[in-house]
Amino acid sequence: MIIKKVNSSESSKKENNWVFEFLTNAVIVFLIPSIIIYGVFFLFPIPMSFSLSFFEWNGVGQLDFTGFSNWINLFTDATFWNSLLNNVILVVGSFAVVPLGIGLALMINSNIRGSKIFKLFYFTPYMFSAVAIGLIWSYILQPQLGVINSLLKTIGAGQLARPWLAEPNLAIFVMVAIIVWRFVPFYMIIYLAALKDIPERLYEAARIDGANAWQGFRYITLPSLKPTIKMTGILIITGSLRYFALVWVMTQGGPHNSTDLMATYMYKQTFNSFKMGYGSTIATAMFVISALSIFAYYYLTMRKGRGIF
Amino acid sequence: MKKRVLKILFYIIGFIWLLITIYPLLFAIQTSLKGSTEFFSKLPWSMPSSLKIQNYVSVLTSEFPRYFLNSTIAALVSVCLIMLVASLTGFALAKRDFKFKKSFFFILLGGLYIPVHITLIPNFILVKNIGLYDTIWALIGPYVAFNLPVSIVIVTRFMEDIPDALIDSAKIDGCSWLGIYFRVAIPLSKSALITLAIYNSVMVWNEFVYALVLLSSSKSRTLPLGLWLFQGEYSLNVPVIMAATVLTVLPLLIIYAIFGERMISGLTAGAIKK
Repeated sequence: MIIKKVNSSESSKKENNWVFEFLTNAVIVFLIPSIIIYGVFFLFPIPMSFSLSFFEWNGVGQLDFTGFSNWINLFTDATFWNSLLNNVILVVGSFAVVPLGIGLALMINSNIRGSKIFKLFYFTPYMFSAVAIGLIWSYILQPQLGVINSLLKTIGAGQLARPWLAEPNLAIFVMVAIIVWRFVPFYMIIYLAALKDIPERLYEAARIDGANAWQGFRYITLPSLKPTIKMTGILIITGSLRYFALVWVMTQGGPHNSTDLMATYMYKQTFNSFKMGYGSTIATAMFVISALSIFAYYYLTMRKGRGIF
Repeated sequence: MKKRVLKILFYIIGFIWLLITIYPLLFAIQTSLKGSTEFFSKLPWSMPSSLKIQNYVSVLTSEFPRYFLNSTIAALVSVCLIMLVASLTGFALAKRDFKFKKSFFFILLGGLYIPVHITLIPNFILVKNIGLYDTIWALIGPYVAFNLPVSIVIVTRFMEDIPDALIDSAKIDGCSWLGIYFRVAIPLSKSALITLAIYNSVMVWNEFVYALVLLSSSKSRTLPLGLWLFQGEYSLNVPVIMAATVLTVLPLLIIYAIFGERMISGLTAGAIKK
């Protein structure tokens, strides 16, 4: 209809028609906005960061080409390795969201009275900003006035009170626990959706065959959840390898880099120490490590018949 | 008998997790109503001796409303752009054939897993060079770009279900592809667009790292950044910081109280296959 109107009112020139035809029908017209935005802000920066990793630059002055020296520094930088180790701890620890998420999803899915309300409340931590959550938790964990330590002292277990975020060997585990707390709701909803997809008749058939609740879970629920668990695995791994916000808000990687993740260390090197080149090197390393982990994960889980599940 | 045991077990676990989930927010609200000396002298779970609404007043008379406005503008602009750009591309991916369609989708999906940190420095340089550094407009590009992959996945999945017959008949009526997009695809995809609006509003409202890198002065701060720096300034007055924290989560809580389920499904839509 549009074309007809334009044809009659505008002009009968063939070139004009061609332009109009192109603008209203070509596939590229639909794709070009995302190509530009995604390309400029997301894709192009990847090779650019990689190139910057061969330079030394403080952000304002001249770029100095330094070859592989940033990369050599990275490989001998104990703080970087420690932050990578922390990322690995976070990856492993984050897998706690799988049993926790499935457990809560099972509870909600059992449709006990009030399960809908439980679900609504359970979801809230995922909705709030990391800054808000991080601030609240820092005061709950505060050594002198915090809730946890005050509670421990009140019940006479004062010897267990700790400066939770200031003890280098402990702080990273506390951070992992809080990150898990924040993301459990997200995984809970994913598992809940998967549980709802399991046909009820499977359980009925099992019951007729005399299966108990545990057997139903072991032989019906768990196998049915397998694809979902595999899928969430990739989210857990990639999410943990790039995690930043809560750690930055609560400890900024401290004390003495003991809670630094690759992302917080990269931020500090780049924007606090103004080492743009070295920051780019860490960022590129993060990219490579994430990509390798995804391939390794796919290889381990998706190989025909030999998956780890 | 067994069923009852299971039920009781569920309730016990349910209430314990409920406490773990909501306690931090209750703590924030409770603390936000205390006086600052009261906070230091009494146990953290003691009730406020009198409700210090004054804490909220001091937050609202600081720079905070400005951060609020900035966050709202950033969210509105980015979300509208994301909805337009994602639905255009999603429509093409769902209903049209073109060369490199698979590789296009593949590259887009890669965006779900790429650590944003590799884009921080180049975007920082770009924003500085085009003179947008320290303005909220600097955030729009990255915000749109980073939320595009999920948004396109959501909208493509939805638009694939639009019956081809509808599109064919529109074509026979002489409708162009752009016409079909506006008159057929968009009206039929309202629910997907609402999902995009919910998901992206929350993501942008809470975004922190890009705000941290691209903004500095107090006139341009978004809420998460403002709150974080606010904490630095008021480090001794914990109740005021908690009042500010409660105020930043309040809009989300209000929307959540109204839309509940819809918001949950919106925020998890990208990860759940239908």
